[in-house]
Amino acid sequence: MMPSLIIALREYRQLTSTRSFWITLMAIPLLIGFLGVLPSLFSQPPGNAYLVLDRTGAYADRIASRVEFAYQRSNLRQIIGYAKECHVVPAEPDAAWAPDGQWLNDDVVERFIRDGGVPAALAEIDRNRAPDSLPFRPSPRRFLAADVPPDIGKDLSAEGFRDAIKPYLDGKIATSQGNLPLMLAIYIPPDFGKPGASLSIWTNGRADFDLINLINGEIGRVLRADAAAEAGLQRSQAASIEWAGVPISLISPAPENGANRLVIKSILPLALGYLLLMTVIVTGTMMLQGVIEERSNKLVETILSCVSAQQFMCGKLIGVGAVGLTILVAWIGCAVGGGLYLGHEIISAFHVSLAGLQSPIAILSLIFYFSTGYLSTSIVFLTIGAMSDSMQDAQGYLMPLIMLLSGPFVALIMILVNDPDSSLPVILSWIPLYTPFAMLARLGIGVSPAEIIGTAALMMLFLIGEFVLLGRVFRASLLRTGQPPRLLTLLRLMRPEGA
Amino acid sequence: MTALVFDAVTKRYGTVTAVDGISFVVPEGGITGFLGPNGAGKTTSLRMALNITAPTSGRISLLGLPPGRAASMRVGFLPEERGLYRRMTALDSVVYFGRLKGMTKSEARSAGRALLDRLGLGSSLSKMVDSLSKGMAQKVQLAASLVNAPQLVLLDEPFSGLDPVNQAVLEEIIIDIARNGATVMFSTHVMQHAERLCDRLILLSSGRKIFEGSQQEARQQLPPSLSLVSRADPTTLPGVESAVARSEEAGWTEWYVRLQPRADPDDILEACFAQGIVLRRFEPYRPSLHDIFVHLVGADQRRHAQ
Repeated sequence: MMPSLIIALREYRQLTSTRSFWITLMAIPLLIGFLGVLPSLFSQPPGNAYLVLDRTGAYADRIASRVEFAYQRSNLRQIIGYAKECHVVPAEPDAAWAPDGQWLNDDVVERFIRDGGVPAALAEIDRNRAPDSLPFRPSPRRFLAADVPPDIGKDLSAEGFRDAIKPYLDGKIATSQGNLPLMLAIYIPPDFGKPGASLSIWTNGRADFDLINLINGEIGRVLRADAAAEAGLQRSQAASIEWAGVPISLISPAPENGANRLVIKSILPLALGYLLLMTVIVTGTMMLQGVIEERSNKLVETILSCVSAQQFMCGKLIGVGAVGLTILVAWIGCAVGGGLYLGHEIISAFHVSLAGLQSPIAILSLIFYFSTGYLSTSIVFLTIGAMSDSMQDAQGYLMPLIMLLSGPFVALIMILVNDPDSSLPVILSWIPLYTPFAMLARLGIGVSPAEIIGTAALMMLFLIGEFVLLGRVFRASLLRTGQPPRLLTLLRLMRPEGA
Repeated sequence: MTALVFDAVTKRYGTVTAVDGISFVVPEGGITGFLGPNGAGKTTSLRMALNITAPTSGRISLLGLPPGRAASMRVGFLPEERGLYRRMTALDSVVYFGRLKGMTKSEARSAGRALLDRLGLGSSLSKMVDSLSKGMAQKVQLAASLVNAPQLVLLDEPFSGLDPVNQAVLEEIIIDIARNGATVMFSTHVMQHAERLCDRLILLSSGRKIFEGSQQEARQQLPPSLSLVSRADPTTLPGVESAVARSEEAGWTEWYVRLQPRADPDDILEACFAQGIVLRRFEPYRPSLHDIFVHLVGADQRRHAQ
């Protein structure tokens, strides 16, 4: 086996046996797991119940149908999104779920329900979608009506109802979907609608204002219709005035060029850029500690009597590269697994991101920029390790280096998200220290082949120069003792030996 | 065939000349002492021989090869400042360095096991270096430098940091290595080890070679001397350069007699008998390596200072 590979193997074994490696490796999976558990820790269980004691008998059904109508509206919104993801357009151009950006007013929702709702739309989408697209997952109902429990009299006064309902507000109530927390209890007195009579609502302290607004809007609508009828209008005329919808068309950016689309397409490349930064810093610091240990343990001279400084350097870079690759594969594996587990939206974002990276040039570029970025930054960490007698010495170089690397990268992310046409990402693409990060971040939104070739050539030249110059510093510093070299000494060490 | 050749080798670090045009030859077999005071250039010379650092000028040859990987696979090296990976077992440490010297894993493993066993560490093969005593760790490092059965063994200050018992053990190991046919060269500034072990000596001072040869040739570098007690003045005897009276008691004088170069003390004794000089004591003085070292290095440094 080549000496560099023997050194790489030892390096890999040593680094992967450290506690910090495993902590780093587990950091992202734990974060994904935490993100998965977090909503269930803080959000209410799906579905909440509401109860209406309608002494007039005129409102309870209206409220129930309005809540159902709101649920159908959310279904329609979801179906439209799903049809877009599956690139399915309804055969009927006027279908409610046609992705033409129409405002989902009551007319459109009614048409959707009339045409068969989710089952009908889904049947058409399923017939036309690609086999590998993900299945539709309808959202559960947020609000479910509860029947008045047998122990609550239907002729209670408001005060009586308040007292009777209290145990249910503190706990759960039976619904068609099982026992659910009672969020809202509404009491409509027998004389409701007459002057002085008022409706009472009790909550469990965690009421959803969407539901309150729905109930308020529906009752108001009935009252206004009654008032219009009393004013001489026929009930049907009053209803048609009440239900008149504003014809609004919603114009969003076109799917291929819109800002949101650009952000989604950049998710994977940006994430790769971020992972590159993270793995480089984590493994670079591990490698740096390893070199400092070899120096302080006086191992270097023994090693250099067996292999050349270049072989030693290459071995360490290969070893740490393998460690970085292990971390990266584990993180990406966990991210994909977590995405599959956590949700449809994350997977669809990945689909969109991958769509921009399906050409061989894009994939090769991705691999090239990631590897060269990893290598060029690792060499710097390795050289810092060779120049330092202790971590304290190394800190003097490390902090500026990490700031130098991460500062522009953070700015790059912000700019790409807020202003994809800014010139800063392009400028950073031509500065070799930032080329891999900037190009990885930009690959998703499309970069010209000329720019890829130009920056790749510059990056290769930079890498060769870095390998030669920092290789000299590495070799000269390994057996050096005393304070880390100052800038002038550093420049002198970059000259060929004997020059 | 020669084991090591230095031909007009110079090493400069900026304005400092660490090694100044030294030339010497170490023949195959035997033990050579590489002597000199601190800062004489011993470690730099060894580093150049091992290709750890390149000479500014001159030529080096090890076992007929230039310094490099091919040569290092046939060389064993024990550096002055010793160290091992703390979280590696004794056997794995030896195997690792064996593999770096081109051995296969199984070769390195079996050679390492045998060597550690021979050094008395057979029961500590799987112990972490962290848990070994300093003496044991030094033996592990010695095993790591010998695992490839080297033809040339370079030891840089091998006795430093060892207690007297382990120094004696190391002396035996060095003799053993040489007996098995390898060439050993070790640097030291403790002359007793060199005196006991070395067939040949190379002496450096301030980066220059000031002596190369056998111990006998080294002793000849000092003018011969003797001490005698007589009633007569020995100054006029043939071969005597000077005589200084040190003490006198009841007519008998103790003389420190310095002989002319290459004069033999036995000839002086014979001349005493021939001239009827009555002797009460006659004691030729055999200079130690320490005396030779002090004499040669002192003279060189005085010369250098002028």
